[in-house]
Amino acid sequence: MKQIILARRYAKALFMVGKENGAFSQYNEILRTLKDVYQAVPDVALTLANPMYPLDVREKMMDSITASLSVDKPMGRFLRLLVQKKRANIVPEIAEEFSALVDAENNVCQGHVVSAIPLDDKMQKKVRKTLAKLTGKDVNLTTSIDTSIIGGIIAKVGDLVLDGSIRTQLAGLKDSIKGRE
Amino acid sequence: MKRFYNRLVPALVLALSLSLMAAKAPAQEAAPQAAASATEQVPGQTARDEAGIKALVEMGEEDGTVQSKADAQREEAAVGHAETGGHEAGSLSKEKLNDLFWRVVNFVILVLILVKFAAKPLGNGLAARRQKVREEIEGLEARRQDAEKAYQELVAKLAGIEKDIKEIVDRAAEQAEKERARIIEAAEKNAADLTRQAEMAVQKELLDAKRLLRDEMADRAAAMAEEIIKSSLTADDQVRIVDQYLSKVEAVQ
Repeated sequence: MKQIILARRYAKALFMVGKENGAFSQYNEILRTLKDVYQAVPDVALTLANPMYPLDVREKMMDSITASLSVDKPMGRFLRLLVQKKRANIVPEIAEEFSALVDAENNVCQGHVVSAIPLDDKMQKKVRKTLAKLTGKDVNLTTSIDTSIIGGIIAKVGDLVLDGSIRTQLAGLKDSIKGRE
Repeated sequence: MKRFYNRLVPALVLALSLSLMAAKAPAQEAAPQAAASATEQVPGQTARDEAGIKALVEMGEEDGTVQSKADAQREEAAVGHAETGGHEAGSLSKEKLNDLFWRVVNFVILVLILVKFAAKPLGNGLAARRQKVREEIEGLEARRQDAEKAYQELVAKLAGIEKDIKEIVDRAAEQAEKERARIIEAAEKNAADLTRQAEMAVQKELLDAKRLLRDEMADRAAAMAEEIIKSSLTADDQVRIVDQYLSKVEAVQ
């Protein structure tokens, strides 16, 4: 929780800078890339946040990463600041918070749908339309398959969860039978 | 002391009479030998007199009958002496009179000696004895009175004890009755509680059994429904279910 609060604080600051520069979409992409790098190579985060290594060494390592990503100067200073403040390990959380800020700025939200069978484009479009009506925002929809839900879908948009799965309906039926006197 | 002398004097008179009677018989039988044996008989006579006096003194302490007996003997001796006095006085010789005189003197001396040396110890002894007997009598009387008083107190106490016993028994009976009522009430209450608890336990067991049965039935029903749905659900059914759900969500919206 503490990491999320810190990440939100850094993300807001960076988003304000990016919004002034009109480069927050670029910053969003850079942070997503860094998040993927952290997840792919966990030693990167461990090394950047490890106080056993000298600060200049860690700064040089971050500089080399930013150079490879061709980031602008404010973004480079931001990443160097994370290293100096020993917050380089919360880059994935900053990326998430920054993405949420960008989505809010673009009136877009992230949605995920779980289904028992693969959804065709028509169904995805219909689901996206329904979720857009519910949230009032455009929905970037991702899908996954889980046969344990038997049938129907489970859609998640932010804090909103729409559970129309057969498994949940059977559970409700079972609870209603158990709870009926 | 006065009583002692009152007893001692008749005894001495009796002893004197006896000594005179004892002296007259040998004088009649052996008058010629009286002069010769006078000096020998005086000590023996004196000893007999002393023993007689002692016996009489001892007897005189016991009761007044001795005194009365001595008085009777003295009177008898005086009467005999009066009847025969004139005849014998005329027949007594000078030697006999002299002998009698010395006997009397001897006796008087003996009496004086006895009075001089034995009166005081005997009087003290008799007084001490009398005082002791009186104290014993007084002590016994005091003890008798104490015993009587104690007896009266015990009788009164016994009457009070009987009353106390009766009160205690009544109180114990009352308490026992109350205790019995309390025990019965407690037992009835416990019985009611046990009955209520048993009923509650039965109801709880029944509800638990119903709940378990219902849960089991619900689980089996859900499992059976899941199997049936899985086996019978097609791709078209999946699409239709999603459509229906989205329509329902839109309708709610």
